[in-house]
Amino acid sequence: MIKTVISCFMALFCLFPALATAKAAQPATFMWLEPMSWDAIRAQRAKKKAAITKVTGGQQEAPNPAESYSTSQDKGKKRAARGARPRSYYLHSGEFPQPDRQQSGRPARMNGQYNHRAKPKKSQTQAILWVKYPDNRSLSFAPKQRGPVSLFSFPAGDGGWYDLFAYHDQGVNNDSRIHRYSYTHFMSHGDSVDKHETNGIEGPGFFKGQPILEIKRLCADDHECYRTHAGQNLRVQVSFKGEPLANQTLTLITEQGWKQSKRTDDHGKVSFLLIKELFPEKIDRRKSENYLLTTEHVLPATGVLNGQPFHHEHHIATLPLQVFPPKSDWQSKRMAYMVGSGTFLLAGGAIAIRRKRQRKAL
Amino acid sequence: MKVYRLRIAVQAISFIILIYGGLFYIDMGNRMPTFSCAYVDDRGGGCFLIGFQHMLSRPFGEFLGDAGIRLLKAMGIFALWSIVLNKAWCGWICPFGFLQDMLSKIRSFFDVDLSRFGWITRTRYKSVKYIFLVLLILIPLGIANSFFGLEKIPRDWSVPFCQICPARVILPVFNGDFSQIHIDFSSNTTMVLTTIVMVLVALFFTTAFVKRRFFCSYCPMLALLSLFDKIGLLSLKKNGQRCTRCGNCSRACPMEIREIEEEKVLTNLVTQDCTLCLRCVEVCPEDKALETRFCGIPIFTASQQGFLKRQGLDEESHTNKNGA
Amino acid sequence: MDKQEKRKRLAKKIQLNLAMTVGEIFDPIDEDTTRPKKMAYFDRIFKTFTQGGEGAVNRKKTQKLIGTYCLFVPEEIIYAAGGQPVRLCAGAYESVEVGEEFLPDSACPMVKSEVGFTTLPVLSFYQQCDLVAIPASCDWKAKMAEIIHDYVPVVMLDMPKVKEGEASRAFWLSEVKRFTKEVEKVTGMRVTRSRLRGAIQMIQKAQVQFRRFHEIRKAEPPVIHGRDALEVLNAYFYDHVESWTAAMATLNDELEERVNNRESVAKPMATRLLITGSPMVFPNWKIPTVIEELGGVMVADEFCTSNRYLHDKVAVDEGLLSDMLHAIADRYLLPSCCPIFSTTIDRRDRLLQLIKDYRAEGVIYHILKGCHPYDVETRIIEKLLQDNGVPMLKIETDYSPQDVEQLRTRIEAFMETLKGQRHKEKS
Repeated sequence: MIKTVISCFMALFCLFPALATAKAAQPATFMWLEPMSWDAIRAQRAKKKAAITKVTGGQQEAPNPAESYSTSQDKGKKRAARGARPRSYYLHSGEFPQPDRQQSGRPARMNGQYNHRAKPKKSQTQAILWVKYPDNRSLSFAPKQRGPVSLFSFPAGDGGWYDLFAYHDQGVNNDSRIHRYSYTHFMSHGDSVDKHETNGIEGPGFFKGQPILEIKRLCADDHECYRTHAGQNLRVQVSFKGEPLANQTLTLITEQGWKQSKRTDDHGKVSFLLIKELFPEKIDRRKSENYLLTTEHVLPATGVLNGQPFHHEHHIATLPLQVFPPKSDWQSKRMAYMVGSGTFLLAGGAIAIRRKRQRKAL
Repeated sequence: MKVYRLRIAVQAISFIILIYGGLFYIDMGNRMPTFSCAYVDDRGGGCFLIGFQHMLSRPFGEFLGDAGIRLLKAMGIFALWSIVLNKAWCGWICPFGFLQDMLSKIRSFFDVDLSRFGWITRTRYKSVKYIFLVLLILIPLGIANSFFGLEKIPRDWSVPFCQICPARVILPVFNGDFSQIHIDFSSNTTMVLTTIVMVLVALFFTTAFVKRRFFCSYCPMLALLSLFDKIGLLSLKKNGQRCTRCGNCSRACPMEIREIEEEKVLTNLVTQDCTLCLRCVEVCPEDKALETRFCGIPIFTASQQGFLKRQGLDEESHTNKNGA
Repeated sequence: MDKQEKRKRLAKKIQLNLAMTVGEIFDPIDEDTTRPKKMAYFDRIFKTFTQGGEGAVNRKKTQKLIGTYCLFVPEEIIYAAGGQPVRLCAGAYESVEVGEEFLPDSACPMVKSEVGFTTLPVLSFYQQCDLVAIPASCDWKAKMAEIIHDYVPVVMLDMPKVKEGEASRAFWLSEVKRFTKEVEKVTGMRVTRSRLRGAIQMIQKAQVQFRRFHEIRKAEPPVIHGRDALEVLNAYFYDHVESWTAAMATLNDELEERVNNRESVAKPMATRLLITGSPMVFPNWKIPTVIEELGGVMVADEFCTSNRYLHDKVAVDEGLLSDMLHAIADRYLLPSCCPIFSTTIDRRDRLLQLIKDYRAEGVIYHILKGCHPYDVETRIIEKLLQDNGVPMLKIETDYSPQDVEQLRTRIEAFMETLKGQRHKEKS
C-alpha cells in the first residue's frame, strides 16, 4: 500500500519537472509558406484529368481558372485569373523541421508531395493570405484544408514579382497572444503589366499597409532573389510597425535541424551565409532544401480575448527559403572557358592552316 | 544617302534599347521577332522564341482552352511585328546581328580575308535553321506530351533552343552578367547542351573572323520570319530587265544569297535568308534595278549616281544630272 | 638580210597606206563644223597613227606598257601595279594581209590585223609592250599567243565559257590572281590594298564621265554622231585613264551646252539606228560613216569597244585586297555580253534596254567575216527583235573598203523602210 503510494509520488515527482519544463519552454510553433512543386501540381492535374475522363469520357476541357471566380464578386480576382494557371502554396504550422520529415531524412516529400495520410494537425482556417500582384494590387485569399496542411491557390498570370504575406491570429495561449506571419515572393515569367497605385493591405496583422512584423528580403537584383543557392548571402531587414527593429534575434533553421542565430544591427539588417545542407549525392539542381528564417518579437500587453486574459503579445514571423544546391556543385565556369577557348583555338587554327595551304597552292 | 551608315546607327540604337532599355524603363513586350535575349537583365524587350517554347510545353488538351488563346495572341503579336518590318528585324534591329556586323568590321580592319560557302554547302546549310525550328517546337511539346506512346522528354530539355543559343551566353555579358558562361553538370542532357552552347559561342567568334553573319544562316528566328516574306510591308523588288547580272549584289550580300543576282523573272526578292540589310541595293550600279518599298512606296532605289556616291566619289556625282 | 629588208619595206608601205586611210577619214571630219570642238583631243590620238603611233599612248617613260585584248583584262590591276594598259584590238585593213601569213583565210580580220601590227613594226606601241595579256575568249584569240609570242612577251588568261557556274567563277578569279602576279613581276610593283583602291576609283571616275556621256546621247535631237562616240571610247584604248576622264569631262560639258541649245548633228526626224555585233575599231568606221552620210544617226551601239567597255562597275564592298580582286574578277566576267559565253540572256536584255532607252528604230547587226561567236547569235537576236517589232539588218563584212558602195545601198534601203514604217505608224 505504502509502496504504491510512494511509487505514485515518485512517478508524479518524476513527471512533474517534465510537465513543468513543457509548460515553460514550449517549442516554438512557426507558420510558414511553401510553394507546391511543379511535379506535385502536375500529378494533381493528371489525377483530376483522369477523374474527368472517368466521368465524362474525356469530353470535358481542362477547367479554366478564371471560371472558378465567375461567381466571385471580386472583379480584381477575375482579372488576375484571366489566362492564368493557379499557383499553390502550402501553409504549414508547427515545428521546423517537421518531425515526420526529419525522421526519414527526405522521403516524406517524395516527388514534392506530402504524405497526406499523416496525422492531421490543428487547422489553420483563420489564416489569410495576401498576394501583392506585379501590378501593385493586393488581393486576399482563404485557405483550403489539405490533409495536415492548408493550401492556398491563387491565379498568377502576369509576369513580374509577386509578394505573399500570410497572417494568422492564433489567439491566446498560455497567457500570451500570438500573431504569426510568413512572407515569401516569387517571379512569374509572363507578359509584364502596367503598374497601378498600391492599395495598401488593410486588415488584422497589418499596420499602414505593411505587416506589423516584417522580415524583408533585400535583393540587389532579380538574380539574387529569383533562385536562392547555398553559399549565397541572405540579407534581410526586420521592421516592426514600419520601424527597423534593432538588436532583434533571428534564427536560421535548416531542414536538417542546423540552427544559427544572429542579431540585427541598428538599421534592423542582418545577413546569413546560407550553408550547404545535405543534398543527395546525385545532384538534381531542381530539388531544393527548405530553410526557415524566423524571429519572435515579444511585447508586454494586457488584454482579454475570447474570455482568455493575456499579458504578452508574441509576433512570430518566418521567411521560408527554398535553397538550391550551390551553383559550384553542378556548374563549372572553368570548364566552359576551357571548352570555349579550346574550340576557338582549334577552329581558328584549322582555318588558318587551310588558308595557308590554299595560298601556297595558288 | 549612305544607307550603311544609317543602318549602323539604327543598329546601335536598337542595341542600346534592347540590351540596356530596362534601365530607361523601356519595355517593348516579350514577343519581339529579334534576338533581344530574355536572359539579359536590363533588356528593353524580349525574344519571342523563349516565350514560344514555354507556351508550347503544354499537354495538347490545354491548347483547346486558355493556353491556346494565349499562344495565338503571342503569335499574333509576333506576326504583326514581322509584317510591319519584315526581315528588317534581322538586318537593322537584331542586337546579335549587330554584334556580328561589328566583328566583321574588326575583321576587315585587321585585313582578314572573307570566306564563302560553296554553293552546294550553302544550299544544304539553308535547311539547318528549319531543323532547329522544328526541334524547338517538337521538344517542348514532347516534354508535356508523349508522342506515339513514347516516354516524355525529360524536363532538362525545356527551352531547348535557348539552351544552345550563343546569344544567351554572349548578350548578357554586355550587361555585366557572366553567369551564363558555364557548363552544367547536373545531368547528362544539360551537360551536353551547355557544352554545345560553349562550342557554338567559340565558333561564333571564330567564324566572325572569316565569315559575315554566320550565325544568321542557322537562326530559327529567320525561318519563322520568312513566313511573312511575301506579305511584309517592307519589300525588296527587282527589275530583271535592268539587271546586268554583274554579281555585285550577291558578292556584297552578307548571307551569300545568289538569287538576288540570278533572278531575272521574279520581282519579290525577299528570299528565305534575306535579312533586308539592303547592301545589295547599295552596291547595285543599275538605275532602278533593285528597289525597296514600304507599303508599295519606293523608299530606297538603286541608281548609278547613288552607287558612285557610296563608292566614295562624292565630288563627281553632281555632274550626273540624269541619275535618279 | 634580204628578208629583213623586205619586211622593212613592207612596213614602210603599210605605214604609208595607214597614213592615207587616216587622212581620208579625218579630212572630211576636220571640215565638219557641226562637230563638237572638244573632239580635237581624241582626234589627236588617232592622227598619230600617221607617224607610227608615236605619242598615241599617254605614259611616262618609266611606266611599263601592258597590252590587252578584248575587255576581259582587268585594267584596275595594271594601273594598281603601276603599269599603263593599252588595248591592242585593231581595225586597220592595211595590216590584215600581213596577218594572213600566220592565220587561215577564215580568221576574222581583227585578229589578222592585230597579228599584222604585232609582227611588223608599223605602230610602235605594239612592239613596245612589256607584256601582252590575251584572254582566251574566242578561238582566234586562244591561238594568238602562240603565234605572236616570238615578238612580244605574252600571258594568256583562260576564260570560262559558262559563266553561271560556281567553278567557272572561282577559276576566273584564280586567273585574275595569276594575272596580278604576272603584272607585278613585269612592273616590279606590288598590288596593294590602297593602290588597287586608288586604281578602282580612277576608273570609277572615268565611268562617271562615261555614263554621263551616254545619258547625253539619249537626248533628242542627237548632239553627237555615233562615229564620234566610237572614237571617244576608242581613244580610251591608248590614253591614260585620268587624262581621258579630264578630256571627257570637258567634252560632256560642251555636249550638255548643246543639249540646252538644242543643237543637233542631224536633220530633224533623222533615222535612229542602233548597231550591234562584232566590234568596230579605228580606222574601220565604214558603217558609221555611211550612216552619217545617209543622214541617219547611230544613236547607240552595243560593242565591247564602246558602250560595253566601261559600263560595268566594280563595287568595293569591304575594301580588302581579296575582296577587291573578287569584285574585279566578277565585273569582267559576269555582266559581260560577249557571245563567247553559253547564254545570251544578258545580251538580249541589254539590247532591249538600249533600244528602249535610246528609242532606236532599227538595228544593224554587224558581223566581221570569221567572227563566229557573233555569227552564231544572229538567229537568236533576230528572233528576239522580230518578237519585239524592231527591224534588223544583218551586215557581214570585213575591213576592206571595197564593199562600201554596196553597203551604202543596203543601209539606204533599210533606212527607207524604217521611214516608211514610221509614216505608217503616224497615219
